[in-house]
Amino acid sequence: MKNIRIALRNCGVIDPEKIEEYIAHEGYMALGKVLNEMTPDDTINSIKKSGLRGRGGGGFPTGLKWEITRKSPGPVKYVICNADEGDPGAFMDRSILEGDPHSVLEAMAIAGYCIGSNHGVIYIRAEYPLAVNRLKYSIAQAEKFGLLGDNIMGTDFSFHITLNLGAGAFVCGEETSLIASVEGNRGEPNVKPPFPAERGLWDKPTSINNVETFANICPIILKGDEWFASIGTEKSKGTKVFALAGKINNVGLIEVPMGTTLREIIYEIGGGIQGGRAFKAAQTGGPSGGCIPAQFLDLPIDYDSLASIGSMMGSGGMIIMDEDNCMVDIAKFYLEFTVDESCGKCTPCRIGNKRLYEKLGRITHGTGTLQTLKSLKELGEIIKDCSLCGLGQTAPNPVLSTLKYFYDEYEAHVVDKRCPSGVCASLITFTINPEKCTGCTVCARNCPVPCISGERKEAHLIDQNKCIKCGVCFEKCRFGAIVKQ
Amino acid sequence: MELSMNACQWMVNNMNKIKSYDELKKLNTKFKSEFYLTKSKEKKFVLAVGMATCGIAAGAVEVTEALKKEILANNLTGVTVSSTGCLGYCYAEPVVEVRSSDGSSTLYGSVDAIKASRIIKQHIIGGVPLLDAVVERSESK
Repeated sequence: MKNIRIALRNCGVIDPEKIEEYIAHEGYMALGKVLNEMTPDDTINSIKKSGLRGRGGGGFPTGLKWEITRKSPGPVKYVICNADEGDPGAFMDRSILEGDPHSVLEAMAIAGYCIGSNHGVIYIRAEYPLAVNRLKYSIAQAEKFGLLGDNIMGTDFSFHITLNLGAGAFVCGEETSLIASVEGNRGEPNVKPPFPAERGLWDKPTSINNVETFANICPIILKGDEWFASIGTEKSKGTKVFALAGKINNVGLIEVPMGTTLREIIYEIGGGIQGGRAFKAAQTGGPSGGCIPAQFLDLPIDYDSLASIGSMMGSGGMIIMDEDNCMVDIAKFYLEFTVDESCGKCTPCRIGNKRLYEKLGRITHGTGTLQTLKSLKELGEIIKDCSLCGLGQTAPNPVLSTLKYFYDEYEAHVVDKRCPSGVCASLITFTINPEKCTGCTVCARNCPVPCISGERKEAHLIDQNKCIKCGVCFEKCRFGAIVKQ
Repeated sequence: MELSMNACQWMVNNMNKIKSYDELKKLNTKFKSEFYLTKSKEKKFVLAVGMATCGIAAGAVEVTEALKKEILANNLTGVTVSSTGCLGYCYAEPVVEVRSSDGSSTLYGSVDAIKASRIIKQHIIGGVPLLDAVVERSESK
């Protein structure tokens, strides 16, 4: 099993600050070909035939989006590149922008030519200073070479790109919020329709595509749509970049064909689970996605297969969990993130997610009941159905998918008042096994409270009333005398 | 007068601009020959250091400096240090790829200043790869 690098073709190969090296790797050749040998309709048809779908998470066919924007009436249109990568643990877009900024600029110009736009905006998060600097530098370089700006390569097509820095709101990755933010308003979503392709930035037709989507455009133009369509599965073509993180040996960025299984990703490319422990779940799609249990290790991954098991492709973050991860705690972590990042415009998301989070808190504190689990599911489904934008509509996914696949773990929390993975502090106790304790005093000296007493060379004792369950004694004990239950 | 100044400025600004697709194709061929190391009597090397946020945070800047210092100290010609983007080997940052004019490529991981000077002394001068630090290796194409 090998990586196939399409979107990442130049990352780690060329010097991103030298346009000469990009040109040496067929840089701006796709733009040249499109401007000189293809009409906008030809180009859109080619992208449509390639089967490329939006890599930001939604999976909308890119060619179709461009076609709708092209057909929307009006002399002024915009191309927006969504580089507001906010999923925890995801860094695909950052890598592309830092390693191969010109590939995105070139593809934006091609999109501009196709939809009839002369202005592109890159909405990028301010937390990516290096990417911002390289983009600014690359735009200036490309303009100097006549590959961006007025009359590109001597043709009558002009295309200008400006940067717009996001102030760090997760919801601004949602396209209507992003547009509001570019316009200088609060980053809050609006009702769709009208879709941005009909009425977007400054009420003009706007095509919004993700960084990785753009990075796929030039190879399609140069190598042909048939080549691209030959990679991947029936409904998901090409490759997908994943950011592998969590309890995996080879943490990093990978690009694999659609339809690769989780097993191949984790055990062949990722080098297996850290410490040889057992795989428990993979979380895809960030706070909007779900957890995939071990039973789906051999499922070919594409947009539709992930959706069918209650997760989603998302932008490509993939967090691997082993037996030491508590699924209730994971669900709570993601929900805390979405509760924090909810813009507050619509009630289901603002209040519903908060209530959902409180219910999870009760479960992890041992005060939940079976009724709590039932209401968790009900409330989650209501939030999904009633929220205004993608953030709220997907926020309960981590909860619902873990409820579906790890119900026994939830049950252990509410019925037995026990956390099987030993993560939820309220449900675990640390005790000392007097048979194994040598009285070395390491635990007592490291305890931050302190609540461990005992004479040197005699068995120690933990005062359960004072213990804060930090687990320091468990980690420090060299004799395995501390028991975590 | 002012107008003609502007026109002058315009001409200066547009002097280096690519004016046609054919011109771009020519540049592509030219830059390609400059990018790829051609086989020659004297072995040439490019040391590409991964300089994305991840690499820099792990110490790629120090590695670059160490490489340059060692090249200077040993009076090496035909060895250049370049920076590049992220290869995806987050677990092995900082990474240095040694591209040789014989077509082979060796990727070193978890490089620090000490390993950097070993790369120069052992691999570049001595011709023996540092087997303990290799992440990936491909022979001449």
